Amino acid sequence: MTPYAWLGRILRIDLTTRKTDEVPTSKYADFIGGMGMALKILWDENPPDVDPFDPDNRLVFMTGPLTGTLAPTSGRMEICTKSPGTEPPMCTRSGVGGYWGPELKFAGYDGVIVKGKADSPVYVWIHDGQVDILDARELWGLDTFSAQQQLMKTHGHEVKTLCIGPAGENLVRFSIINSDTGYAAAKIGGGAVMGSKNLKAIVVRGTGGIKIAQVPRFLEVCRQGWELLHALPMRDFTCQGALKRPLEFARKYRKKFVSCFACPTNCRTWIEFPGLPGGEAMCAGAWWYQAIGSRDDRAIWEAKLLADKYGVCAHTVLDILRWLNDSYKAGLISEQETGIQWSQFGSLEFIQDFLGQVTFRKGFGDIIAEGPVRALKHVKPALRKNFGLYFPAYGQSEHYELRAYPMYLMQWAMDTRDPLIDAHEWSTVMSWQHYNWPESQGKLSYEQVQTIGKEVYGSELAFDARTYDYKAETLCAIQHSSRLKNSLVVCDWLFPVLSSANNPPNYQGDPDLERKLFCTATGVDMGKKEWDRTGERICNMERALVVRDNKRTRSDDTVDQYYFETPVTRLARWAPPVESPITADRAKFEAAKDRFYELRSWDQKTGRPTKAKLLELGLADIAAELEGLGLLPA
Amino acid sequence: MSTKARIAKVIVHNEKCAGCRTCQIVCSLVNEGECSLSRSRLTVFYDPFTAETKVEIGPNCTLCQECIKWCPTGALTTGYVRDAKEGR
Repeated sequence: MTPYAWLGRILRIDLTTRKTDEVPTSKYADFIGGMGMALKILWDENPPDVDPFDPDNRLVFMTGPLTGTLAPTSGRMEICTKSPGTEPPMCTRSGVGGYWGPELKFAGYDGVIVKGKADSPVYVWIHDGQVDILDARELWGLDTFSAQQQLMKTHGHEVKTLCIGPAGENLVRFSIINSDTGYAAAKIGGGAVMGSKNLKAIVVRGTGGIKIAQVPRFLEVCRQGWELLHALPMRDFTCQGALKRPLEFARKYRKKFVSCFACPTNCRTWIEFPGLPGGEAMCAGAWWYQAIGSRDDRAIWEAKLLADKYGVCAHTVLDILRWLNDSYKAGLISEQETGIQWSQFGSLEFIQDFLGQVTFRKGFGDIIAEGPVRALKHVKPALRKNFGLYFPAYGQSEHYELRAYPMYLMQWAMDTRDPLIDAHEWSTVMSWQHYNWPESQGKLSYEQVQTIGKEVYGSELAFDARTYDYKAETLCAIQHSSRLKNSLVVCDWLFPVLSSANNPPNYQGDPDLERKLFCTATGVDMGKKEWDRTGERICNMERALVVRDNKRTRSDDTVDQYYFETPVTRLARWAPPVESPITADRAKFEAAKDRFYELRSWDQKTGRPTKAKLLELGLADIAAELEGLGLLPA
Repeated sequence: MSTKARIAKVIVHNEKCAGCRTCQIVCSLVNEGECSLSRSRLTVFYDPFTAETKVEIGPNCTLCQECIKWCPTGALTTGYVRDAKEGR
């Protein structure tokens, strides 16, 4: 590992003993940073059968070599743990933007590993290489906004904080870790893991710097990225720009655009609603109550604030509410048996009551707080019928239509969580820039999309959206690039940069930008082939983790049976009906899986990495451990 | 006032600032050789609970204008002021 871009040390905190030590970052250099390093740390340190709420479960906060640098969107970092928010609990990742990641590096660390459990509530204060574990009893119970404001009073206005709200404290399985008013590590229940450790917050402040290996060349590559990204009309796009109502809401209450660290798009909208606190807003995390039917502006904004303050995942709540409210409308559940006023759905009172019941585990909320899959055991069997529509796999909430788009089906089947929040890539080009992007913002034609497909994935078939053709090949490429961007760490919305308004007539971007940023920042000389192999290494290590911990096998690589049986009639909730209803095709899906395992050199029967592949990728330690456990294919 | 009495400065338009700190990072990288908020010659003060921003240009600014070139919102421009304080 070079002495550039990385800081060289990872802080490890044992909350049980309240002692700290350090791990050299160089130990994990083959995994770049972020998600790659964090998952390898879980491989090395987590006991395979550990429960998410066991003190032995590590919670890893990991930046990457680009975090905190001039690289566009370098505000991001990843949080990995054995997740209480997936079923079964799997080692997986959640990304978060904003300013905490850069500040941690300025304070002298590439990452933080937290293990153990404090005997009373604590928070961690990291400042210029010093680490204090401090009493958080007075912070316990505070919402995420109040806790951060209190910590700013104690440690200064410039500190950056990641913290949990009451939902994390109460072990709500879809609780988030929050920073500022809307930077959330969501989907995997990381907030509950912090809560289980009695850890309220990690506060950071640093005055150090990050060295860059090739400054003139790095500046040049950063500028190239800046130009490509700055031209993208992301601002309205991230308000779900194709959708009329969120855009109207944003334009009505917008004070200004705000931004993650070093981002040229400044896509986040600052909302000032009369009589309520302001806050950052972006996509479903902000407009979720509106998306499921509320037409009350005050209720929509208060729902957004409450979710962030309590610290629950808005994306998960959105689909839990769709599931339950649809069930109520179908006569499957009643107000009486749930104690929730479904007839008031859409109102301010309803959402205050519902989020309060879940966050503080009251009544029916206590069942829901266990997450949708576990809640199923406590509700009428009739609610199982359409469950898959809202939760396609792993108990994770729905994201894009799976039946009509085999690419999404493949992405879902081969992951450990909702795969689309941190691997938009294909969907950004296909679903947004081609289908839904307003004409006024330079919509990509199908021919332009195909040109991008051929250049990036090797075939126009990559964007032949309704077929299974070439989707296994495309998935391999998407998995590699998403693991790499989540290891550097840069923004999922914007990387890889597959298109740019600055490059007419075909509007191509530069899919090699991440590698160039990495090489010039770190001084590591890595060609395209080796870069792709690094992505493949991270994918194989990630797969090995779920093989070891969850005995994952081929039959687990799927989505709910619902998608193979029930046809879709609309491609999106806001779209017109399709001409002929579509279901997922089991035979074509299994054939695409065959091809995917073949491309991965994984065992066809079990979908598990082979010894030869693991050795080829430099993962001898993983091969040896899997072999010892009898989990390597014959 | 004659033109000679004016001083060239980076002019800040706080209402346009999104708080991204790109100006600070490029300043420190170009002028100090590393990415560091504290070694930057200008400072962005951003309140995460009100989105109010205030950018201060430090006395050691050499008017290299990299911050202006990299600001994505046009919150920084060059101009002439009567004295150094007006540019802040």
